[in-house]
Order: sequence, then structure tokens, then C-alpha cells
Amino acid sequence: MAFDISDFKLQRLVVEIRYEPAFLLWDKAGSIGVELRNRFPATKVRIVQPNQQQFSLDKKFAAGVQFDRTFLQGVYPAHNLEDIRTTSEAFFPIVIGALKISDLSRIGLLGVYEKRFESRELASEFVLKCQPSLRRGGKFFNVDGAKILDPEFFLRWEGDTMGCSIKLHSLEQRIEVEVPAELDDIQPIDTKRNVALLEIDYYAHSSTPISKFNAPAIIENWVRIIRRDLGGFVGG
Amino acid sequence: MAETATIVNLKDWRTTGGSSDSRENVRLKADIVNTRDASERAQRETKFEDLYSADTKSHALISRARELLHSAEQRAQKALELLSSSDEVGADQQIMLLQGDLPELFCCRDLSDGLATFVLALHYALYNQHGAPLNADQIFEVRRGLKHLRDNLFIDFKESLDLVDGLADRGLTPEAPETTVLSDVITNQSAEQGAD
Repeated sequence: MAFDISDFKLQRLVVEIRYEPAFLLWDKAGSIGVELRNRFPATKVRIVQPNQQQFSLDKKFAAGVQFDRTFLQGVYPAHNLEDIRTTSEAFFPIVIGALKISDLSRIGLLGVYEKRFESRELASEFVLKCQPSLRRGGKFFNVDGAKILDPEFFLRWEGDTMGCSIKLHSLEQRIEVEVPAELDDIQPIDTKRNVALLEIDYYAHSSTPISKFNAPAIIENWVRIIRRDLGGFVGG
Repeated sequence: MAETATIVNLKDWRTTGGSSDSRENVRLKADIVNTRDASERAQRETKFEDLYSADTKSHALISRARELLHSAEQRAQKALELLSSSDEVGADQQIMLLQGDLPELFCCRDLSDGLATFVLALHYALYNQHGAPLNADQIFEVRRGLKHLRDNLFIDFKESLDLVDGLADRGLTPEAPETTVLSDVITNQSAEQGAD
């Protein structure tokens, strides 16, 4: 089956930079937080530890600043990526400037694409159609006539400076929320969904001077490359 | 030697993380070293072409800016060569051609504050010569700035000031004429206030 990325919806996009340990994080964590709040007024602190802080910048975007890496994550970003590009344009210079980062040891862009299905079997069948080599039939491990469920396919493709890893798998997700008895007018939540997930991690793993890093351009270019090459690569 | 050790999954370490991920703490458990040619990899430098190569608007802008910077740098190099063979007219002509590329280069200013600052400074440095030719030192500095910018397109405002200072150190005036007048007015006002 020819693989078509347009069947999938971009669920999550993460841009991550890594660098040599940034000792200035111990001094600048507060000023980074203040700058982020000035730029993104809805900023809320999620995790605060000496060597890492995580923030939610608004409903769709979260960010983390750590001793040796920083990431920005967008959930269901706009199709033209304008929102995550604008956010990244404001976010990364704040961190890079505060931590005085001069070189990056790795730049990564993780795209998680999803396609929803009615059942776990249908999601598994989709992955098997994309990767027929994962199919099995007969009797194995004393089980006859069993079905492949939750198949998973992983490949890493790496060159001297750039690389990518691709993981295609099916997944059953469940959310269960119990409501305290005092809130008797609120219904508890117990729901499931089945998806085929395609996780593409595209990265530059050689040294990159900060003067070559432009987050919005990286997002635009790399997502375009992913959309362009993915079908041929997964299809083989 | 550590008394305990933790087995760390390097596959996770080679993966871009995010907030809903438990991988954040992996780094804390042990000193992770990529087993494959880590030092060699760090020595290699990512090229612009590796990072920005798709058929996108930003790529078109980055490519065009780098093309123009390259072309301007080549003109400066050519001017230096002509000057060393005592062809001052030829050298000046190359600088005039370089000057002609600056407006288009300025149109790429959205790429970085550093690019905008240096291009504007170079424009005024040449404008303020009022037709007088540049000497070899000045052309060398112009070429150095263009080359640095081509290799480091996204430099920030602060870093670009070093390049602008380089032009000023060679006797060029990289500011708008109005800025000089304004700066004189402000200086005089401050002096008067100080005297009061």
C-alpha cells in the first residue's frame, strides 16, 4: 500500500536543541521565566528543579529549559505552522541569549502524526498494510490463528550530519477520570481511542554554531522535507 | 569509579524529547556518551545546505541572501586583487557594483537583526565616502564582514556591532549623516544640562 502522509494529522511537533551543559541556568532560571511571562502572558510553571524548568506557554504550547537541552512543543499546531513558527521565533532567542549558548550539539524536530480508527484491530491492520513484512500466520508459541496487534515498525536513517528515525505503530489510548463523590453533577470520564501513530524524528547531529540556527526556518524546511520524503521512505 | 551504574537506553538518548515524555531524567542517571564517533561528530559542522534545503519561502530568502553575500564578497576580493595590481579604477568599479547589491540584501533583513545592522552600516559607510575610493584595508574589512555574515547569517545585533566597529576602525563612517547631527545635538544638550 502506498503510504500517504496526507491521511495523517499532525498531533505534536517538538523542536529541541542540545548543547554543552549551560551552567548559567543556575543563575538565569528566574530571568528566563520572567522573559517568557512577558512574551507569553499565559505562561504557567509546570516543573521547577535546579537543572530543569518546564512551562506551558498557552493551551497549545509547552516548553522546557534544561541543563543541556531546551525544547518547544506544540500540540495540534496550525496546518501552515504559523503559530509554532512565531512562538519559536520568540522563545529560542530568550533561552539562547540568557544561557549564552554558542554551539548546538544537536537540533531535533519530532513530528507525531496520527490517524484515528474505530478499533484496535483496524489500527493494527493499517500498520500491517503499510508494512506487510510484519504479518504472521500459522502456529507460533503454541498459539494458533492469532492476530498481530499493536505492530510496530522502526527505522533509523543517518548520515554524517543529518539523520532521522521513523516509528510507525498502532496504539490504544485510554483516559479515565474519576470524579470525587462531592461533585455529583459531573460525569466521570472513561473513554478510549485507537490510533496509528507515525513518529518522525529529524535531526542534525553534528555541531551547529548558533549563528546558523533559525527555529522558524528549521520548522518550515524540515516539515516540508518530512512531507516530501516520507511516503517513499516508509513505502520502501 | 561509580559504585552503582544504570543501564541507559541510548535509543532514547538519540531521540528528540518533549514534555509528556519520561526521558527528561535519563540524562541525570548516568553520563551518557554516544558510543559512535561522538567526538568526530562534534568536530564536523552542519552546513547551511543541510539545515535549509526544502523548497520553502524561508529557504528561498536564505539562499538569496547567501548568494548576494557571496557575490559581494567576491567583488571585494576582486577589488583587492585589482588594487594590488594598481588598477584603482577597476577596484572602485567593483566596490560600486557591490554597493548596487546592498538594497536587495537589505530586503532580506527579516532573517536576522545582525544582517540588517551590518548591511545598513555598509550602505552608509560607502555612501559617506561621497565617491572617494576605499583603500585596501577598508576593502579587506568589508570583505571580512561579508564573509562572516555569509557563514553566520543569523547573528544577533550585538555580534554584528563588532563587524560595524571593524568598518569604523578602518576610517569608514557606518552611520547615517543624520545620526551624527542628532548625536551632536544630544551631546551638546547633555553638556549644557551638566553645566547648569
